[in-house]
Amino acid sequence: MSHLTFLRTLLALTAVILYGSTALAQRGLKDIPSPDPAIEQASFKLADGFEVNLWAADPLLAKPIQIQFDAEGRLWVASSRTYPQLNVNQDPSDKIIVLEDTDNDGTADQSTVYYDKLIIPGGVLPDNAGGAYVAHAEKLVHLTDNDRDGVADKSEVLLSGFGTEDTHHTLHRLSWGPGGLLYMLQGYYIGTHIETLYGPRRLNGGGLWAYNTMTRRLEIYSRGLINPWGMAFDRWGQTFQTDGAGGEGVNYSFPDAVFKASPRENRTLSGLNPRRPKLCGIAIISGDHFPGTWQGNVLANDFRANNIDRYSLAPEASGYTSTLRDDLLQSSRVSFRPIDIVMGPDGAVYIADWYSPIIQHGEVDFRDKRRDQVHGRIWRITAKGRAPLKRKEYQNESIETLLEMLKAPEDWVRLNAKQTLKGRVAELGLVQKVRTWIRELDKSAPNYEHHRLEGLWAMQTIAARGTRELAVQIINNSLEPKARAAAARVLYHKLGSVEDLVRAVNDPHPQVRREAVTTLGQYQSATAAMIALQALDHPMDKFIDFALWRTCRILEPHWLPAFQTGTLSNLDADQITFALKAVEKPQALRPLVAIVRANPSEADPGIVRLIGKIGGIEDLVSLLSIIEHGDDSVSEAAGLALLEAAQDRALTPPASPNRRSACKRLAESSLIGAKKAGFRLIGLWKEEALAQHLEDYLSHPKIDEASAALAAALSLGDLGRADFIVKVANADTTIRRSSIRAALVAALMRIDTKRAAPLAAALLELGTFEHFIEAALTKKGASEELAIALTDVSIPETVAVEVLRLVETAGQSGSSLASAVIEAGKLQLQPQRLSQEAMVQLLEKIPFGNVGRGKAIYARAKLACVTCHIIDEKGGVLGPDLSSIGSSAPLDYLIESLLNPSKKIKEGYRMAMITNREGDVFAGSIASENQNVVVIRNSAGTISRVPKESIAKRETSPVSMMPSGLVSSLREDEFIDLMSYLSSLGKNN
Amino acid sequence: MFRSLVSLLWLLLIPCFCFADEPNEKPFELHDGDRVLFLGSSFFERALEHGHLETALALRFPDRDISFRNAGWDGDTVFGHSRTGGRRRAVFGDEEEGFQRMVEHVQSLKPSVIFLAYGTNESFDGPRGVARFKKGLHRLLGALKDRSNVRFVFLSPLPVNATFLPNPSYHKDRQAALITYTEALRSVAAQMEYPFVDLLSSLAKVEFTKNGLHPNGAGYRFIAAQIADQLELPSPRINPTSAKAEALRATIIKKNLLYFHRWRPRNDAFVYGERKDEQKIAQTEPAKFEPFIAKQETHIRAILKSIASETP
Repeated sequence: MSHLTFLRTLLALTAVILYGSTALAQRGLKDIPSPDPAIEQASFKLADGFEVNLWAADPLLAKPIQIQFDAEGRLWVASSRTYPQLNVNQDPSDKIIVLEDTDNDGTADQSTVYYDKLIIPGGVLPDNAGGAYVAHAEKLVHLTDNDRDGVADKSEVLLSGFGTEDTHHTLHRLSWGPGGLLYMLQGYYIGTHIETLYGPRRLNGGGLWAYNTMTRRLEIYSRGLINPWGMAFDRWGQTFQTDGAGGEGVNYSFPDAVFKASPRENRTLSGLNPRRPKLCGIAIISGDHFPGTWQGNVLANDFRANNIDRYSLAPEASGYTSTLRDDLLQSSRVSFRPIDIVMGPDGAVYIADWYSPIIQHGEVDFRDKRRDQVHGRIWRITAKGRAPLKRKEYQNESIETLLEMLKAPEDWVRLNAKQTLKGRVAELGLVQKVRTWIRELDKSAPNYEHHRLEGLWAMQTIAARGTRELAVQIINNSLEPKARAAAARVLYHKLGSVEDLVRAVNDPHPQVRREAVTTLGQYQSATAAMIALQALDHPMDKFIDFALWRTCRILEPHWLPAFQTGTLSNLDADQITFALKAVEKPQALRPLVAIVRANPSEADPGIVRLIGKIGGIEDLVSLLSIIEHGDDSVSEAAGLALLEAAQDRALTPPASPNRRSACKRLAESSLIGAKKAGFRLIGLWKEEALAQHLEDYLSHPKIDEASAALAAALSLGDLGRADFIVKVANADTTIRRSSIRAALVAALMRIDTKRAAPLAAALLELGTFEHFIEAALTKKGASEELAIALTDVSIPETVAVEVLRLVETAGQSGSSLASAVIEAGKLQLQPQRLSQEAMVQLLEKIPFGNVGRGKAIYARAKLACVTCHIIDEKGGVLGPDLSSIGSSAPLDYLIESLLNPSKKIKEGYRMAMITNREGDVFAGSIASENQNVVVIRNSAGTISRVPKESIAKRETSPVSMMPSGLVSSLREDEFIDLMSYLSSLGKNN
Repeated sequence: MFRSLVSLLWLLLIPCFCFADEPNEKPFELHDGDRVLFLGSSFFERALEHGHLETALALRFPDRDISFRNAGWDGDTVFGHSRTGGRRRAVFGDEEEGFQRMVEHVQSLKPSVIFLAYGTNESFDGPRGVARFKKGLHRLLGALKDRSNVRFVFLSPLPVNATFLPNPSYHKDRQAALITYTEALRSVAAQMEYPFVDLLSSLAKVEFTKNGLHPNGAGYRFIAAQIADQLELPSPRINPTSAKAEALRATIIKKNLLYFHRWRPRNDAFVYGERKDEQKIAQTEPAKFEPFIAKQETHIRAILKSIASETP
């Protein structure tokens, strides 16, 4: 079969049926798996020693989002049939359902609709007094059941103003922390503005909230993650988060931590399992029903691949490492969507199964018929041969009994006991009883330090006087570092004073030091900063470094003015340097410059780069002497700093003999970064006298560093030496590498497109397109010149495909250059649209494709898939990771994405287009952005820095970075094989 | 004394376009055809689910055709802090964008009367922030007056009750800040000759809230009456707690919730923001709320008409 025949046939067959018609949208697209739970259960493969049973299923519940057990062993379910979007004029009708296993046979037998007037409730948390906290769209509400008939009769809005931008990012996942606070999450697209008695709270992007239901104080606990849908405390009160849209596994979190995707934050912490699939929900194993080897392990749902992952955590310095173990459960059933996971009162693990073949919110139409809106299951996983735990009673127990429960091995028992105590704050003598219990604890008991910590959390939960004193006692005399760390965190809530933390900052254990440094950020004084900086006297690690950096920034309004007026004493040079570097403010820079000047040969490269970022002309001048006196690596940093100042802020030290000799030293450096900076500064600073140096370099026939050659050529361009560039580019092509010539042509393109175009065309004929294509696509008018120069030129097909990709993704599809490239590469492209009927026919064939052959097709250079996509850690990062695309994307969406990439662009992969005042256009993804510059990465992976001053227009391209027509060279069987391969990714079978 | 001050201020309202045919001594009132906008922070956003403010105003002029829109946004300021959500396909805009969006939104509604409730959130900036607040307020008024004949009514912040705060000194600080910002609003109102409703002092001894910050239902009912009284509006034609008034209020709540969905749709990011290219259907739906809103407004009109006809 010839190329494209199948597509042509399909197109011819269905030419009259409009794309998007729903008439034929049913049969083939609706590959809906049978909803029979028995079939689903048969697909489960469990880790050795475990079994699973269906605890509850539709119609007892539908579409569970979050599940939480109350102290009486009932399971509260936040349920939404409305997701992902309320219909126009639809009354809120989503539910809180309460499920109960009244006969203790391991399955639920009773279902009560507790409340049914909600809009996509993202979370539910029983208050253990018949009521529940519920995430209700943009509000946190408290539902109460005053007549105790099991149905809510009152709804009070506690907080309002959570963003409505995205229904699966808005407020969700409610849980209690060990000290009685309510924690809740939001995702990246959400902008929240909430009024509280303590002032407005604003959070743009993802984050973790902490809310005190008694004082109504609301704080942002940590920031970032793309869409965090899991948060858990371990036995010692350390916090871990999972991210349903970010792939770094388990994230170790603490107050004021910042993770990726937090807007306007330039420093973030990474997760503990880089490049893992996205995870939804989190549970930490405790209780004797699970075997000892599982205690403290993390379970989280890889909902796209239909698995439940198991991770083990191990302490490392002040943080943890996380290791992926064999899965707890694997399924081959595409509709099995484990999205929440909790431990039940019997010590078993309970899984909320959203149950739908569709997981996407964005890519699949909100009203797509395949979105399941009626099913939902709760699965229960137990250890074979181990008895279920007996459920505890709380409500009618005495205070003394509840306190004894704080010794239980099960995390949930201790939590329920404290929550029950919280419900009895009005009871006379409660605080006294708690204190007595703590005082009378057996100090020789093996878990004494943990019991005492639970006592502290109980005090915090009921807001007892004496909480601070106990925390300080634990910080100062506990033998268990984890208890000391947790006690330092209790003081985070402004319960103590800075002196309480002096010892903790100097603790022998790094986690205690990190916790103390974080807590000090809450005590608004210069002294707090001074104490926190004592952490530098001890070994540092990435988490302490981050915490201290953050605390210095938070406390800046207090210590920086004191430092400037000279009232901040007793800090050594390391401490001052750390603090000043952390704040990145011009008023903090002067003393840093002084430090650097005092000893230029040992300057801190970090400070040097900071000077380039925010320093004034005078500060830049001092960098010249660092280049003169510093070692190679410090002068390289100074060169890069000067380059950044020149490129991003157009700031240049005035011409002087010093400047020239600094430039020369850089250009002659053996370090490539320094050399490139030197070359580029010659042009940017207009150091005419050094032009000869560049010409000598470029005239050498054996140079092989294309990036240095590009810098040299660009500078010669700045100095108006086009003739020289043309001469070298035309020199003996047998001895001059084409990549060097390409660099020269790229530089020429910016100053003389007419002369550059024929040279570019000649290089394209040879199969080279680095650098200059991007220059031609950026420079105003250049692509038209290149199109003319390509007349009657023939370029290799694989090169043409790649160049066309760059042209299209620069927003120039359909331009004269695009046509010229198609012509020169003899590319045969066809319109890429399928009718519904053609789609149906295609879908029916894909299960019969050959996955092995598809994999080989995927790897073909001509398709350029690998250039931009990662599968199993190999490939580029410009496009989405495809490692588990088969388990997350429906086939029709995949086919459509290949044929017509711009139709639905995955969030985060949309191109920005920035036009500067000269009419040059930069297209690509925004790699980063600060107050001076937008850094943009184009579809070839090249970075451009566009100074904000120079930007005339900024818009988002409606065109995908993935070119259309890539697959049009495939035969039908090849296309089917490729689709079979892609759809197999991320599936276990 | 306060009433005379209000009526005094009212005389000189917006001299540039002048209600030339209006007698100068006439107190503030709502006219036939008025489009009333509530603009501010949570005071208005939270009023949505209660409906008392609009009901109270409507019941005082049942024979006039007046429409209401609520554009309150939790946490908002005169700078538009809460309206910075993504447009132009960016996820989050800056403050300036928030302000521009607020102005564009208000202008698209073509209000003739704007009730403005700002100052509470700004007051957390303390005495040092007052100058900036006044400047921001003037900028907002300037931008909203541009090209239209808007009559403004200023509402003061609400007081805060010590029982909800952790300690007496914090309460003292808060109360001082609220007084400072209330006086700033009062002086701008006086300078611009707009009516000013002082809720800070009139609610000082009233239990209007269950959380120390937001009025509850009874609180809004009281506040609605306060606003009408301080503006010297005519008495309500029927008892605001009567069955008919409650039916009116239910319809008003329904209409306002629909408008909330129309204005701040679920999945806003897919309608206007960063994720716009992912869903076409999302972008068509907000406009589909319009006929439903219109239908509720027809109901509201009908109820008011019958009230007007029954009560001369």
